[in-house]
Amino acid sequence: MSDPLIKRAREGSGDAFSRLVADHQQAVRAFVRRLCALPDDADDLAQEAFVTAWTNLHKLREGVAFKTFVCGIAYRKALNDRKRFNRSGARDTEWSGMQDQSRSSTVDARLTVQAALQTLPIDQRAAISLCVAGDYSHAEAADILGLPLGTIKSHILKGRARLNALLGVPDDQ
Amino acid sequence: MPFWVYPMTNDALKSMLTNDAPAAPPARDIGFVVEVMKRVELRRLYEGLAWLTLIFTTVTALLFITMPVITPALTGLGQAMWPLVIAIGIAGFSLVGFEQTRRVFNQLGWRF
Repeated sequence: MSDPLIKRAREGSGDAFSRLVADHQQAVRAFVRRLCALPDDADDLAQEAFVTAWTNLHKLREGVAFKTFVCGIAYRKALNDRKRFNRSGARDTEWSGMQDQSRSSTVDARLTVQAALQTLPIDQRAAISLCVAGDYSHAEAADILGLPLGTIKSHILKGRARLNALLGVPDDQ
Repeated sequence: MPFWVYPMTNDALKSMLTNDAPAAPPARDIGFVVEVMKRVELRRLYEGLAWLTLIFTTVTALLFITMPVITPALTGLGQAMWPLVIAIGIAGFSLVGFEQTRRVFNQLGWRF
């Protein structure tokens, strides 16, 4: 592994790992916040993703960035959370309530963006978060989400079209 | 198109997403790092405790299985070794006594 911080963290250095967390927390949290309905849930999920990354650091392949590795873990955790979320009727209703509240708000633009994102399926939202909101390449997004490249491109195309329609952005493609 | 309608493209979509306030965490957040490291240390502690419990249980189970077999053998070995222990004890006392006597005689000027 070329990154000395990752090498030291693999050897058990907590100091090296905390520096890795400090360096990559912004990118990972921004990605997870777009996946989750609530920022607090998102931060909790991001923290859990980093802890899982710590225990599975030996699985980080050569050439894969630490950020990509953690985002992949966070995405799988978000998928699992969503499955649990959907199984629980009470929480599902609560979530739908939040969705309606966000959608009805016309005062705060950021709520509109969040609400629009939340209407997308989670895999489309993840692809849009990575490739449109973030600066990830399609290949990196495919690696993070564990999906074929063609599926990523399709998700981005569909997600863009839906977001453009919801936010009133003319589709120029 | 009226002048107040800004023609947004997909770059506008990108900027809307990147400027979205709740999705933008701070570049430096020591609280988040501390929280992650707290969870990591807690995980380490639990893993350590799990290993200790596993080792303790394994050793206890092994002793529980092997002690009924080992105890008579140890007792038999101990009884067989009694004459040797007594002989070593007598030899030790004799050597210490001889050494003390030699020192006293040396002080008196009598050399062995």
